[in-house]
Amino acid sequence: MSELLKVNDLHVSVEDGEILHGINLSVNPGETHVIMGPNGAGKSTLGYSIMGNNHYQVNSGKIFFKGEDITELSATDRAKSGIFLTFQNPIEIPGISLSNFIKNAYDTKNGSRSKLWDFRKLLEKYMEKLNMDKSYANRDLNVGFSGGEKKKAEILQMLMLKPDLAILDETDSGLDVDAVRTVSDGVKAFHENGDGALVIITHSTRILESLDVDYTHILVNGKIVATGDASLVDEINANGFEKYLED
Amino acid sequence: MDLKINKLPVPTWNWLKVNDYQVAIPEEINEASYRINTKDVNLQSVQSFADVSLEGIEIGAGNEFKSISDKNSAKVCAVNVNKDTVVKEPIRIDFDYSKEENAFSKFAIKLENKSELTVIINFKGNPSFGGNDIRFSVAEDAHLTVVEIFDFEDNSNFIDSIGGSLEKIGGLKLMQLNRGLGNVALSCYTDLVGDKSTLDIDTGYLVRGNDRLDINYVAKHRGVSTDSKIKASGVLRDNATKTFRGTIDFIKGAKHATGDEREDVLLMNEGVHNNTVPLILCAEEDVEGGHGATIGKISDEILYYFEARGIPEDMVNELMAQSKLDAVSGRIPDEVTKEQLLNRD
Amino acid sequence: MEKKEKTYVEDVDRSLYDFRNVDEDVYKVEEGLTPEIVKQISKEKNDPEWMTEFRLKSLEIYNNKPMSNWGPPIDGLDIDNIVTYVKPKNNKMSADWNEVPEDIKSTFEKLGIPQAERESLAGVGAQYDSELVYHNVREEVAAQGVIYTDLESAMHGEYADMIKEHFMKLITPDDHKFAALHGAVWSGGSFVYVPPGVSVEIPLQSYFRLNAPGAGQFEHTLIIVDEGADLHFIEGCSAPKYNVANLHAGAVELFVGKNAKLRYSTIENWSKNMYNLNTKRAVVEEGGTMEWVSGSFGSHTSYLYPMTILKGDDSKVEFTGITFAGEGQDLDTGLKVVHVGERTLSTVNTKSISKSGGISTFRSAVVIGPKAKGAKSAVDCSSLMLDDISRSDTIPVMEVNCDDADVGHEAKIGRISDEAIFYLMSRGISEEDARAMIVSGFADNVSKELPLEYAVEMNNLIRIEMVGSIG
Repeated sequence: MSELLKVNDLHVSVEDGEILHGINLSVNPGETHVIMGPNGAGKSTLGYSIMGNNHYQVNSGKIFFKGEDITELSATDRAKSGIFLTFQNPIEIPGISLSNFIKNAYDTKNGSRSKLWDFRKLLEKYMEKLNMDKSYANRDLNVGFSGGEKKKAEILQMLMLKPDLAILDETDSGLDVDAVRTVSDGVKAFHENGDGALVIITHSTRILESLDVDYTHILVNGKIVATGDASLVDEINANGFEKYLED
Repeated sequence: MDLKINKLPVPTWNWLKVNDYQVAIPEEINEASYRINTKDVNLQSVQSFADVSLEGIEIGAGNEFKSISDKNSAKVCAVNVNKDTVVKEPIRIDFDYSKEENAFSKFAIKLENKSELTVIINFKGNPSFGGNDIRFSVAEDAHLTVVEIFDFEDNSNFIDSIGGSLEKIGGLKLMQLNRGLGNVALSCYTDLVGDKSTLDIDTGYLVRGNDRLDINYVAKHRGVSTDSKIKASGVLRDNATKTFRGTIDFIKGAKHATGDEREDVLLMNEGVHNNTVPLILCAEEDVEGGHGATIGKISDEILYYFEARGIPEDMVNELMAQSKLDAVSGRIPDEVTKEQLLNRD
Repeated sequence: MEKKEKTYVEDVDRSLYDFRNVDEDVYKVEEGLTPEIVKQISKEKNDPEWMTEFRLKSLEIYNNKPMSNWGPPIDGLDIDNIVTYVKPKNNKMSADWNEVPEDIKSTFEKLGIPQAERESLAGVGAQYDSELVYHNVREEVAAQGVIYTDLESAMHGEYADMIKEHFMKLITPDDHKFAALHGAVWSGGSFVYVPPGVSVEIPLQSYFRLNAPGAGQFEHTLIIVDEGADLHFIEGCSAPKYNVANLHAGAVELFVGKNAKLRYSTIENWSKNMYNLNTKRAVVEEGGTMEWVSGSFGSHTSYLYPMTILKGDDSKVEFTGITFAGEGQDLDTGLKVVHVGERTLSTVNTKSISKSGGISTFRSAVVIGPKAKGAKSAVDCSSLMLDDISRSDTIPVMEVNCDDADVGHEAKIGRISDEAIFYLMSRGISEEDARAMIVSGFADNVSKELPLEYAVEMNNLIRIEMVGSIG
């Protein structure tokens, strides 16, 4: 089977300088990858670079998705082709309701106008799964949402849009135990309902407990310094990143 | 002779009477006398602002005042701080006008690259007409602080005007405190020419009796990433009239510039008149500008809270009024002045 | 794909508002302004004597008043070139669309007026150039005693005294030069009277269409909502684009009685050769409520500041407005509120958007009078700059002459954040759509206040303005 995502020697910089110094990563359909690393290692930058963001400049290297070079594509086109990124701090947008927003994205992705009633049924089903109050559907996008509700709203979008590749950026940070469980149930549902691949960026392991991890990558100072299977997560849990940090 | 000063950069309805401030000034104005105290800075007396190349700039009170100033025979006290010089001890200037005096004073303050200076000016006495014209130029990474304390007696009339420009990373911090009596006009025009230059205005006032206070601040953002903060906070009593004009002007090209102006006014008696006019002019997309104003009396919640603690209403008013001025005084970056203002019975 | 959409939008724009009828056989007065022209209009209108005198007096005031020394330039407007009175051919106002001349009827059909009347309005007035061509009110509403008719015939009927008592008493010819001009050459417009306690459940609407090139429209709207009554009035306006300046200097006088409520909604979409120098004013009695909903999209130059005088104790006003200034437009809009009575309340929420070199200015005056004890005012205005060739100015004044008042003002100016656009793009929405969505969201507080079909029209206008703005 051909690779879903292939990142080739990716160098990425922002205004202040280069952050990623040559990343290589391959993800196949249905796989779950975990990217761990200390703060400031470049984990979120990697997520943004795969999603495509003008703020992050690709200096060299390529990103392939479903065999196509997407390095130059806009975020819109990458989203349309099946990439999804959850944001650590989803932006608040007044005047657009959560439901209306997802419907727009949903219809764009599917290339047809869905019937409002059918759409609402589907949305409410997933909201229930995520323990979200239905009233959130009519509230302005992320405006006044608590940290937990914002994260749930991100997972809700993922479930609705059914991307081929979902990148979860610190989706579990700042959540209480119950919320982490709800979110990780949501992720599990996404994973089980198709062959969507997951790239989970995290520096904790709570969200991983109910998931089958195929690969774990350790990202330190803009480089992947180790790749292993699920057991690597346990090792990091026990010993931290110290062994991978350069002196 | 009538003079129109403190003009609003963009006029609005005339019936509001905020487009300018009309003042009568005498035909003959003498040179003001003052004490100036500095041990580290060289002072020079020059004939005119042209001698220090500060004749062409815009000033806070406007062109009519400027031409009066330029015609006046008072000498310009020129202050120059050399490159890389940080003057630790502030220059202290004290005015004490005698009764019914008509007097004018002029200062030219120039800071060369990476220099720092604080100027503290105390105005006292009873001028029938007093005028003061301060023009400045702040070079790269230089920082000027000007503190002015106005404490006039009844029936005084005074116009204070400041104007100048800031080069790259240069900064002006201006504090003005009007705590006395009389009719006072304050103004400052700052040209934020250099990238990342900053303006910080912090003003406090108390206006009483039938007195007037008229304020006009203009921040002209030309450089990239320039920042201005204008804050005014004050108390109006009796039949006092106050007009606050603050203009943040983003010129095209002033990318990433930020500007914010706030005024809060405490109204203490029925007869007060307050005008608050906070303008934002914007010809650049990539900026963030904001203004806010709160005008009113002490909220019932606060009154109730104090009363529940046994403090009667009139005392709460005095407390709140005093604390407004004290808050500004407390931010003055000079221990001597702070002590003089806050150490009272 | 993008190109196609742009073409499509231009088509919508033209067919929706920009069609013109050839003006043949119409009766017009000469261009310019003289006592003879004013007398001629007065005669044509069969004015009562007091009105003829009023017109001539207004003309005198007009001639003696200077142009304002503030606001956008109006050099492009030469009153000597403006035709102040244009009467459609064979005009006779009717309450039956079938009796309206065919070309005029089809104009209003294209604008969707008869359809809206059938579906969602209690009454409709339609003005074409200087004269009303249609006026009708639903029977059940008329049965409640609601009067909705053209002002001119009302002046000769049962309500003659009421009109004489109120006409240009709120907006006097002395107010400003264009109020004086209006007093001299006004023509057309509606009169509404809602008797005490009557609540008109669905809105009334007047639609103003200016078809003749180089002409002025000077309609006068007079609405009296009596004690405890309730009315929603909608005003729509549009015109085809010409290369010569057109002028709109209407006047709207609103009297809101004790405990009465009036909502006045406007979607203004004049063509971009229009000088819109309109004056609107409301006076609110004790416990009454005035609500303004105002969308300004069209015209070349606008001076528009609906004024509310909160005369009675406990009266209040809510103002919701949006201004969208695109290429070649200089829109100076805002409001005035004067708090006279005790515990009066004003709440203002405005948005302005500037794009493609457009200039939008928010100008306001909130005045708290010396006797307005317990008055409260909250103003919130936000401006959005969509590029760096446009301009957005905010010029508010707060005059407070009473210590027992609570006045707050907040204003923000900025642009659409890159983060917001990226977030939407990461969900598969194109950059163009992302911008349009954010702008619609920005305008949402206004569209929420409009009846559904007008909200849809407003969102269409925003889309028309937004699509094709990138690249």
